[in-house]
Amino acid sequence: MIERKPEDIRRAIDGELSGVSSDPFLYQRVLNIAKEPQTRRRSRRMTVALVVLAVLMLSTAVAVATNWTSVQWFLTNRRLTPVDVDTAAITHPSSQNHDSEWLNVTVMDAYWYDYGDDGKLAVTMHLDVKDPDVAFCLDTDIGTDGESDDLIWWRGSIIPVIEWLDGRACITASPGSGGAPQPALVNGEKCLVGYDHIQEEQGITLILELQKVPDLSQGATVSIPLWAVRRVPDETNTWLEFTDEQELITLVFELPPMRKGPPFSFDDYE
Amino acid sequence: MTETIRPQHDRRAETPDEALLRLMQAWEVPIRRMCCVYLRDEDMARDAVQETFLKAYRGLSGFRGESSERTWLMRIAINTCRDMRKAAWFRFVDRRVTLEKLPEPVAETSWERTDLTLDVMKLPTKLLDVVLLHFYQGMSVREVGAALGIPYQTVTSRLKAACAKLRVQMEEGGNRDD
Repeated sequence: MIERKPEDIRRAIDGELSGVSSDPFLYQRVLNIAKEPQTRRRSRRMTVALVVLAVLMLSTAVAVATNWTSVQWFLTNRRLTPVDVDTAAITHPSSQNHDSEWLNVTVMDAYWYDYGDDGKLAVTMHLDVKDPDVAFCLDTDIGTDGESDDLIWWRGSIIPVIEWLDGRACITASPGSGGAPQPALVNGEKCLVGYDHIQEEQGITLILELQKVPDLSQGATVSIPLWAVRRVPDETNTWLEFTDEQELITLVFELPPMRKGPPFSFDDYE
Repeated sequence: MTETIRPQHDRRAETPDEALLRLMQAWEVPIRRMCCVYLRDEDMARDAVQETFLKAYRGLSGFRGESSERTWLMRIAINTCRDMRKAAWFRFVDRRVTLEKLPEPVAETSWERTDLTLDVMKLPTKLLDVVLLHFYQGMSVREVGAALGIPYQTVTSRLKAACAKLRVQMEEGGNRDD
């Protein structure tokens, strides 16, 4: 074995690289670059940190916005009596967006809960009317005495029905209006559907209540029919529904495996 | 290899441009060759040398002379080469360049010297640093430690490991420590 000397290293490198000589233009190149107007260069770490921060801020803003408009807010703050729900049991379906000729429907959240011997599934959805000149009429049923006080939702605000009358059309939607009411299907099983709306600050948001739903612990495929009907008031300010001007929107979405939350009922309100 | 260090009492006021020219004339070639061995690519070495002197030019006002100019320049060059090696694209490019891809040597080489240069190029980064600065640039162990920012004892142990890999007989006394 040949023992090398330390100076062999220098001689070897110099010998092999003796063809590497000085660059006659290097001096001028360095000066040209050094004297260019410098833009502030961020290090890669700073750039990565800024991108991560921007993504976090955007995600937070989206989470806050969606939380405000979701059933999670609704179920815990409806009217003046907060409802005790297990927020962890609230799930989000797939295929949230559904379009029809008149409406954009977004299925927001689902909540499965005990009700007597059966289970119920509450599904909330946002509605937007595509035509800006057409209002949406929310059928309400305030209180237990059956008092009805319809709400007109038009261009982002509630207006009194009396202001909307006088021949102006609006759309209403429910699982049972117009045509022959059809039940919802949960994993192929038929379920009756009730519905209600939420506070006006939420916009046009319906909550549909599916009754006697099957077990949802393994997830489910849900199909809910939603009828949209055009209404026009007559000379007595009574709504006339044009049943020949209606459309059926079938909301089909998948639910992940769910767990039951504590009971939640519209009858619990004062 | 001796270093041209301008003595403090003899140092007249020179402009940054003059200082850059002086440093380049003294150190460009050895730094360029060191970068070739470190990066195993002449084009990258050219970029590394340019970046080294650019950083040196910009840092001239902050250089307080606590280390020698050689140590200071070598530190910049080694760090520049390390940064280039860390670049993501570098990791995915096969840099096992052979000597044939480097410029033709002017002097005839013996079989042993060719083999030695290849062995040096194959060293792990930590050992390559100390070998290039100590054996090629002729820096003392303490100067190498100052350039790399590590204790001189670490330099010594790495030199021993490098020598064992390169089958280089350590200098009498283990290392130069001046």
